[in-house]
Amino acid sequence: MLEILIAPETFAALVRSLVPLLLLGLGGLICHRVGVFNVSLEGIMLAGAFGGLAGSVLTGSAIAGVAIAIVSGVIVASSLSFGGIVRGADPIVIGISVNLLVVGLTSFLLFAIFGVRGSLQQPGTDGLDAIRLPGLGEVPWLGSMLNSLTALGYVAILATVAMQLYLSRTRSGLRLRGVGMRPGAAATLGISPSRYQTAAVLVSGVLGGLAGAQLSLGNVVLFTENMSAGRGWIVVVAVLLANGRVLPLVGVLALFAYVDAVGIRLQSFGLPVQFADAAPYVVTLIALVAIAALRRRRGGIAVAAA
Amino acid sequence: MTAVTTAGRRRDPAVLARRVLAALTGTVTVSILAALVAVGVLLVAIGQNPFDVYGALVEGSLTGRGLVTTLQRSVPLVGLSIALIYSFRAGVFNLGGQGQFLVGGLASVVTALALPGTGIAGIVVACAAGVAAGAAWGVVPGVIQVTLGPPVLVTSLLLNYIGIAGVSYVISLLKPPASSEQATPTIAEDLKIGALVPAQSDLGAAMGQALERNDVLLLAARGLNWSFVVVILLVVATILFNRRTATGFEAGVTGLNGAFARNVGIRGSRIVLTSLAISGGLAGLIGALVVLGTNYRLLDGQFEATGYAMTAILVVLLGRSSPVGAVLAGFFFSMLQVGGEELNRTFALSPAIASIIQALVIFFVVLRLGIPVVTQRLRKRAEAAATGERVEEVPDAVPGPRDNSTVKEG
Repeated sequence: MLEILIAPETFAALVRSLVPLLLLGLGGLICHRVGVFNVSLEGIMLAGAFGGLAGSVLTGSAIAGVAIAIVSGVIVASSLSFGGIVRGADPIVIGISVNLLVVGLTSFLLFAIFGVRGSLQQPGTDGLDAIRLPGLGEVPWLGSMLNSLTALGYVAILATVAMQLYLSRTRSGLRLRGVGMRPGAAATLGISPSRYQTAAVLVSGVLGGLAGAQLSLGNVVLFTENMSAGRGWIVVVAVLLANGRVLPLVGVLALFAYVDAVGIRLQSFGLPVQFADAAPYVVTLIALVAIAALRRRRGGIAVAAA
Repeated sequence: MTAVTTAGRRRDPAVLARRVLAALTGTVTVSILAALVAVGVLLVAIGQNPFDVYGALVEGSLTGRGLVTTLQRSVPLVGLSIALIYSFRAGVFNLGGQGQFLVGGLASVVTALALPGTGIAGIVVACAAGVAAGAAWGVVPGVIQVTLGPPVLVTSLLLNYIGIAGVSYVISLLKPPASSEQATPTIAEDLKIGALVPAQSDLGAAMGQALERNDVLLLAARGLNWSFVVVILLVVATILFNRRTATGFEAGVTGLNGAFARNVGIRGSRIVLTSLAISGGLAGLIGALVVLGTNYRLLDGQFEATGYAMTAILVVLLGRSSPVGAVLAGFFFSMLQVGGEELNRTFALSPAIASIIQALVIFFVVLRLGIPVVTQRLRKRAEAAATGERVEEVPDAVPGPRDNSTVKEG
């Protein structure tokens, strides 16, 4: 039973679970760095998941589905940026109302367009297949991880590298971090904080839309109501834990995905399904508490929202 | 909400008229109208006549049996909103209502199953178990925040998922082996909370003879149970708590301005813990009332499916953390929900239309849509144009609690 912990299949499941989290996480991270507390990640991802599958079913092409997923994510993100940045509304309240709005709208549209309730699965829908690499795919262990990556999986890897380079090596990335740290100081240098913030929120819409598409077109080819299932909140916590840095974020999300993968695999050994369901949230909560306790002991800053 | 000191001024008709006008042109009214218009556009887009749809929604939720269903749904919704008010008013963003509600329901059903039939005393004990479990569950995020710092907002939400899975597991243990449903056994007959006027009682029989079979009064007397009265008492108690007790006052001050409250010597951590314990305890009580008064057992997933706990957050935001506001907003949101289900039957529309209107109303409220705001801004802009000054936006009250996520021992 213990070999499950290192089995190649477990790591393949980890990768499938990690890709959408990573895409969404990078969106949350850029918002965190620019000083916007984005609690609509859940809604952005759900909209992306719906847009992705609906788009693929209606157009017959997964690529068109991904494009529609991006548009859906951006629409949700722009309602957040309008409310939070332009109108100065409470980011938490606006985020929660946006999330609930997306839950309602996706169920409504599911019924209005496809006439079904609960979930939509049509045989023959074009999904995103995993890309099998000819050479590297044969390597044991690593191969099974690489072979479970879809095109969006490679996008996630590229986006992670790009985000790290953007934040650390570019002038615009430096300015973005400046806006997050001291918006007033940035403004005196002629940088418009609201422009950077709006852009970051829209980028989180693009990335979150892709994350949703990976859920509904990559991992499985179906949409169910509320299929984001709290992942957006896990990502919010992960970004707080990582304090807005890229590598720690990847680590936290990988831990979450690993627990998720092991939990699912252990079910075949008679682990009650509820334990697998709760495990990622328990691990996240423990990590949150443990890291806060460590930071407190070192006298550093406590983990706090925004 | 008028405080005691303004009770005298209320009688002045001019002041009253101005108040009514302010309410009619205020953010809440305008937001509701805007949400209805937005959903109306959506309805036109899918080929429905919005006036017909809204007419059916009102008729389905405010007449006859529909009205009784609306009242029935209002009971847990208003109850959970009252529970959340205790934390939101103190500036604590408690998103854990779902878990507290569920854990309370589970504790009460477990207690009720363990108790031999003991009538009223048994009901009280089962409710007390619900309160204790909800309070214990609810206070955990508070303890984490005041000792280590991670915000209640996030931890309370994570605990929901853990609670849902944990309760589901306990249900699977309690499930009778022969049963195909994932549910606990049904509680004893005399532990069920009865209808206000049971059909078998003398009064019930007399009412049955005096009134028509479909009379709303008769349907309400038989369809509503004593939880209705409990929630009314809770509303009154909350108004008194907020206005007349030191803790209620301190919680209100902390919610309005955490830094000020700390500086005048109010201990933030104590307020966070107290408000979460009360919030969780009351949410647990509502869980117990739903189990003992409506479901008589706990079916896996049933509490989550109602959406009460998440809708209650919106109710509190719309009602601006006031108990009377929660009653009005809770009734309104129940009405949308019941009417939405009616639309599903008559127009083949998704009942999700109710949640869309609800979320949109809050969205617009947070954007501070309101005629006074608009006219004020226009007037200011005109003045500014005259004097050549720049316009400063004056944010008016936002209905959410201030972000007190960093409240620490002080």
